Amino acid sequence: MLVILRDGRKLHGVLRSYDQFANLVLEDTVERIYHGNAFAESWHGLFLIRGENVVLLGEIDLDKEEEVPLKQVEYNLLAAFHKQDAESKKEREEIKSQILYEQKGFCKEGGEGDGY
Amino acid sequence: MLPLSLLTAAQNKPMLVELKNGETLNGHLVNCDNFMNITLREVYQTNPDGDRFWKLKECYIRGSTIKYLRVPDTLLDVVKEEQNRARDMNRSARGGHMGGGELRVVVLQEVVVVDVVDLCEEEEGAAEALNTFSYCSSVCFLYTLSIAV
Repeated sequence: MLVILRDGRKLHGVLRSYDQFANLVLEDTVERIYHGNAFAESWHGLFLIRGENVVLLGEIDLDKEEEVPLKQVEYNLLAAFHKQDAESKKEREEIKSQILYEQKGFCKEGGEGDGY
Repeated sequence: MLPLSLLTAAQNKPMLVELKNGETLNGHLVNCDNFMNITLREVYQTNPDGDRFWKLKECYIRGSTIKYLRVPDTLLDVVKEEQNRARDMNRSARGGHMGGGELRVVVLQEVVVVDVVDLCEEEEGAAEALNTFSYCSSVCFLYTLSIAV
């Protein structure tokens, strides 16, 4: 299963159980980060995720997974790029919400993940 | 196995708790409740960037501030085993009502016990008149099985 969290993390793992709040138990979890046409994984193991933080939960088609045209690289190599990406995205979002607030009469957005 | 029962079963186990603001807390679980409020002891706390650390003797975390928990991989196996044991105990306790005699005969083979209990449960709904017969037949069945194994 693929789980996307409100902070933008993408977790892959085996869904072991869930409850009425969508609290999830993921086994053999890996976190994946992407940059350009490369991705990297870091091992996390057994995870218990609080339901509120889940944006998306989807099943992965393992056959199609093998056809994905991305190449896997070392986590350490990609981590810096990924951090950069995240920061620039955050900046863009800030600018966007500032413009929406000043010129378009939108209310001020709250913190991280409020777009969901 | 619900997520929260897994957490309850993780008492005294080491775990990592990440809060919504990105802070992480590493420690041993002391207690938790159904709101996911938890207390940890011997805690190492880091800030969201992971460059500053604090050590806390004990701490309490409100459930609603938690993003996720990382628990030991072995926990799932432990919990599964415990659950199985509890179920078996439960089953043999209930089986005792029907006729404790035959269940005691077969504690040698857990597999057989389960089969017999299944059989008994199936027959639970059967007509009262058949009760004696079914008792006999399960004993026979059981006997055959124990020869087989």
